[in-house]
Amino acid sequence: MAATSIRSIFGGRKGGEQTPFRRFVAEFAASKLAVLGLVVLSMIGLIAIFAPWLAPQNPYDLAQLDIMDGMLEPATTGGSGFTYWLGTDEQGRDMLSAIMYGLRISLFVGAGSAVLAFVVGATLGLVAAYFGGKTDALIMRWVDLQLSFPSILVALLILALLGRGVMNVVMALVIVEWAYYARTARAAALVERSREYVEAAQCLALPTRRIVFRHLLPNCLPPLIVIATMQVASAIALEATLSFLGLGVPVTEPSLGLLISNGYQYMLSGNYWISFYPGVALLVTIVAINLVGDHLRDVLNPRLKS
Amino acid sequence: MKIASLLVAVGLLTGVTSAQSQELVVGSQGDPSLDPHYMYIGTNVAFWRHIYGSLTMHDDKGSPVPDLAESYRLVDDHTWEFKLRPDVKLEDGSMLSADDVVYSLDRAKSIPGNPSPYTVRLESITDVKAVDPTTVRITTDKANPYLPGNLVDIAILPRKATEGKATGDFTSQAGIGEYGRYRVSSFAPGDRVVLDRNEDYWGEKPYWKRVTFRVMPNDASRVAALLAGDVDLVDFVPPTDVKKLRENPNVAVHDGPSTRMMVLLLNYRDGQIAGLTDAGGKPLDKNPLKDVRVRKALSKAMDRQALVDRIMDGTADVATQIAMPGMEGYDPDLKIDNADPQGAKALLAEAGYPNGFGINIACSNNRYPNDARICQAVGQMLARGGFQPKVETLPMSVLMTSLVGSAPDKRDFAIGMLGLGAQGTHPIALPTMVHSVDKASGRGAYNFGGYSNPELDGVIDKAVGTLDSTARNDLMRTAVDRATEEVVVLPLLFQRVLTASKSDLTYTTDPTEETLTWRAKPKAQ
Repeated sequence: MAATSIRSIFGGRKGGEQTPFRRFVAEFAASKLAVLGLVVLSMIGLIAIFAPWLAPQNPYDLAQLDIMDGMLEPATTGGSGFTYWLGTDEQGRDMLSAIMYGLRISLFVGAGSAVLAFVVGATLGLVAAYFGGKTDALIMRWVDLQLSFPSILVALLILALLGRGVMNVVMALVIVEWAYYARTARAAALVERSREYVEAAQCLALPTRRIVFRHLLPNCLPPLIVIATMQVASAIALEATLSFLGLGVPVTEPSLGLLISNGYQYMLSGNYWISFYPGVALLVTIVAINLVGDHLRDVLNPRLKS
Repeated sequence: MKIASLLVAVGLLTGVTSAQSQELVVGSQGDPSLDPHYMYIGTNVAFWRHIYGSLTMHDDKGSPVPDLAESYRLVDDHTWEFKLRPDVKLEDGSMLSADDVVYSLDRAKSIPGNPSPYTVRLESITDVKAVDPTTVRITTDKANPYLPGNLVDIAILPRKATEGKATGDFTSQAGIGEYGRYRVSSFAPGDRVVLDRNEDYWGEKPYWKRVTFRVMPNDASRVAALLAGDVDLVDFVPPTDVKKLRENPNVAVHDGPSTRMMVLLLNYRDGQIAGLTDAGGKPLDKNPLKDVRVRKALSKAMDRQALVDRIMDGTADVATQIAMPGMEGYDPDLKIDNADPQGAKALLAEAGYPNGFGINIACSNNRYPNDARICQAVGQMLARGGFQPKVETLPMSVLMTSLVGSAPDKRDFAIGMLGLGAQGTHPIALPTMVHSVDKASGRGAYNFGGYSNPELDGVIDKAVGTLDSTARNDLMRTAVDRATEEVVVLPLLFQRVLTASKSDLTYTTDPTEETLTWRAKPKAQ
């Protein structure tokens, strides 16, 4: 494992006198690839947040689109004298702006669902581990049941019931993904639960809520953070898939997946750019998140440490 | 380069062989039903026309002409008489008789659990009588000039071979009494149907000795199969692929007008409608669509030519009115003005909406070519014309639910887009979308917005009951002109039928969108 050995060289030199957080930052910074991922991810995040100010056109405002500028190749100047650097789709939507706004939706859906699923899943996982017995069996069998279905199938079912819409997609993703957090949180908490500090806290007759959330949770966080990063990427991919299938966000407010889906029909006709550039944006986003996530796992997982 | 020339060679080779062996393979969007009275959709009609026949047939303009009936005439205002050809030989050697017609017209009405029955074509018929073995008299409750046109779509089955057979029994390849141009050789539902030429066919025998319909519902795979040379002809070519196919020397694209009209329906209901809102999203107290100035503004905002050029890639025709050229009532003098967003804004201001209002546009995303794209473009045009549109694209079933609503006074759509097809010789938008809702006569079946204009109703009722064709045409034209003036609905465009084949075949499309293989012929001939 190259990453581990590089880190052990650099980490070994720096370790020791620093705080755990500084050590963590140093270890993380050791991987150039992960740092690159983080930089790219931060840029994508900034673009998404400031899209309304950065994008040359508001692709959600129908009055700003001009159908006569539809299907223009990248770097063509349209009738209004505006140059479309990444071309336009058949509605005359500037692809560059559409991608910026699409990233916004994709990241919002990805991060939003990850945070909500984290809260729900981690709580249930901790509760299962702490109380054990029937509660544990009930929650974990439910998790098993849900994990036995492919997540795309569950998401499709939920969206078929709820209908399209950004919030509905987030809901569907939370319902699909909480199980991963629950399972991870339970596994980590089971280990921590038998530690002396938990016994000590119990002897002090501290309230259960305090033990679970103030003592157990912080010690279970590292694997959960890793899962969360990975799940953001998979949530973005899942949202793209759902939108591609026509069940995700509304057509007038396309996310990356919907943009790819819109252009898909034109691929054979040679108008590659409608699908291609959103595809690249999606790819870069997911790869960046995965780079960061992978390295986080290496740094935070004690078993991978020498 | 090498691969390209190889492909050309293979393409030419297969083309030549298929023409020489007189075998045609069709990549078909529809999965045909062998029971010709089950499920009335265009692809099924096209299929049974290969193995059965009907009293009348449409010519390539859509007008009815004699087929199994060698002639027909009006006996009195309520009675049509059809004279059968004496030479229609059935599978068992006997001749088609008037009794088979009586049997078929009855059977078409009585298929249990038929999701889309043929009964719409049998409306107003009260009695069918066999006068003698070759004469049938059909009585209607009121004068019905459209009866011969309606019977174009009703298959005539031989009683002896099919009586008592349910739809399920038609899946077997034996004993369904085909007597048309072809007989079924083998049938695998969802995969393919193989037809062999009927050498006993009474009319002109088709060129192809064997026709195979391969079921390919996916647009892309149908086109890919044609490009790969697996099939000789494909129907329902997606408009987006037309340009690319036209550039391919091995492929010929055949297009022609279709009667399918993409049209926007408006909601005329009183009271608050969720789809019509003020700037804050609150439903308006008064329905602005009842004001003809607002409707004219909608029409002015619409750039129909851009829809045709940009969204349909030129594979459609601008609809200037609810009739198309060649139809009864078509008014060649009616012109659609160029899009005029400023004019639309001015009209809106005049009607008391200087800042426009929120208006919902609902349309399907899985039914008609480019339906969702047309809808988005309509939204764009309305936004430029001073409205605040919101576009909703839904699966067809959901769209229908929202158009029909739980009750007529609970319908919350503002604008709904539909494609009205299989119109035949007269604009059926008049009796079905413009005429007020009348359950008893079946008029206004698609008038989901509840438009009601007694004067127009009168003209339409009179027109569809007038037997004299000149007088009827004049009445129809009056109705078309009035409906256009009032902007009752907004016709957008008429689609074109798109069929593609190997370049060595010729083909003539049909406005009904039916794929009729005997119209495909090798170019050399």
